[in-house]
Amino acid sequence: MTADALVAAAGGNGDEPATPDVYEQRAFGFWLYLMSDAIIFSLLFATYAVMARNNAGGPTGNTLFSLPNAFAETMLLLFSSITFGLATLAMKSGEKERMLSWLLVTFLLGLGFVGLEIREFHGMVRAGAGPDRSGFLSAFFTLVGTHGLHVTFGLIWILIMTSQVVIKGLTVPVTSRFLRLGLFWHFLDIVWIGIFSVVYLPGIL
Amino acid sequence: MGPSPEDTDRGPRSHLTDIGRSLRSHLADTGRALASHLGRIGRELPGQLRHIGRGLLSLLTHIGRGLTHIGRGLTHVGRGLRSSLVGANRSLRSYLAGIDRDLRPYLIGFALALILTAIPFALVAFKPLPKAPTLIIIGVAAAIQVLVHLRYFLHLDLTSTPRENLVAIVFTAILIFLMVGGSFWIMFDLHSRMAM
Repeated sequence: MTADALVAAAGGNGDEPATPDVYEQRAFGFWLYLMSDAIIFSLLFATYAVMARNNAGGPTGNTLFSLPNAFAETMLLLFSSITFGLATLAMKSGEKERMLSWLLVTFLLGLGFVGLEIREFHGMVRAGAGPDRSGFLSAFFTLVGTHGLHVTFGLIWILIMTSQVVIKGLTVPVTSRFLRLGLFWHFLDIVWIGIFSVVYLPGIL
Repeated sequence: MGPSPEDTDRGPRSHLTDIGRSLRSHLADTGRALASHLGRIGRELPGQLRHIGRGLLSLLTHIGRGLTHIGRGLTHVGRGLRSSLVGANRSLRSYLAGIDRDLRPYLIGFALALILTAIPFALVAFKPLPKAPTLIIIGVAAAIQVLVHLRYFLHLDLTSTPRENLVAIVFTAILIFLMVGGSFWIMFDLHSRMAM
């Protein structure tokens, strides 16, 4: 973002002071960030796998997790991935209205996902299965909560991008940011594959 | 109505004779009727049997013909199914070819992701398999789905993606393998030693 600010300072409204090279570098930098995020998540997965059976006599995944809820969350994220892809395609063909409407759909799907997750967490804490109950639950809330926080930040980013597209239009810096948001959003769906395959499905089984 | 005077005159003996005579004629009648019945049965039985036989035969022929029909029908269904599958495949392909080139990877990825999500969820919901194979299938489906997402949503590919991005992801994979694998090694070894 500081580099973006520099570009904006050098060339005003982002009208092309930067060579395409700069955007490639930013895409690569963001890619490196995603890789470090992948390492964080894989270590949280490892922690969860080690702690999964340490329920300290408390509730286990079999009683806490709901298969329909996990399935609904999975579908919401998967559909939001494809609607984000449709927004990207609309952006590439320069159709601003279509891009904004797909972005809105993506935002609503993501919001539905976060809503379901908050409801699930709230129900678990109220049932006395909060993160302080057992090692298993600490690891569960850390892993799934970190992913949920990422999705929440993704939602904020979608709102910011929407306003930038509305205000600035489809300029080169805006589209380059939008493509990075796309990497982030698709990455979060990949992490979710790991969560339902490592946490929810084996827990319910 | 008593017996007539002449009858009484003739006496009980003649009565008995009368009874005997009528009895004999009755018996003869019955015998004749029986014989004619038997004769008729004897005459008609082969015909009946032939009828039944013919009926059975025609029934069997009908069944046979029906089976042939069913067989032919099944072949038809099979052929229809095959041609419809081929048609569906062809129309899917032409549909995919007809749509925007850029949209295609998203749709393919989406369809594959749906299938690879439905399989593990169905296995957990309906539990058709024991636990160990179910877990293995969940793991394999997840690994394939991660690759599908990388390929079709993140457009990762060995030729058009910048080389340094590929190097970064391979390096990340090595780090993850070392750190996650090492953690598992240490922690599960500790578990088994604590249990000893």
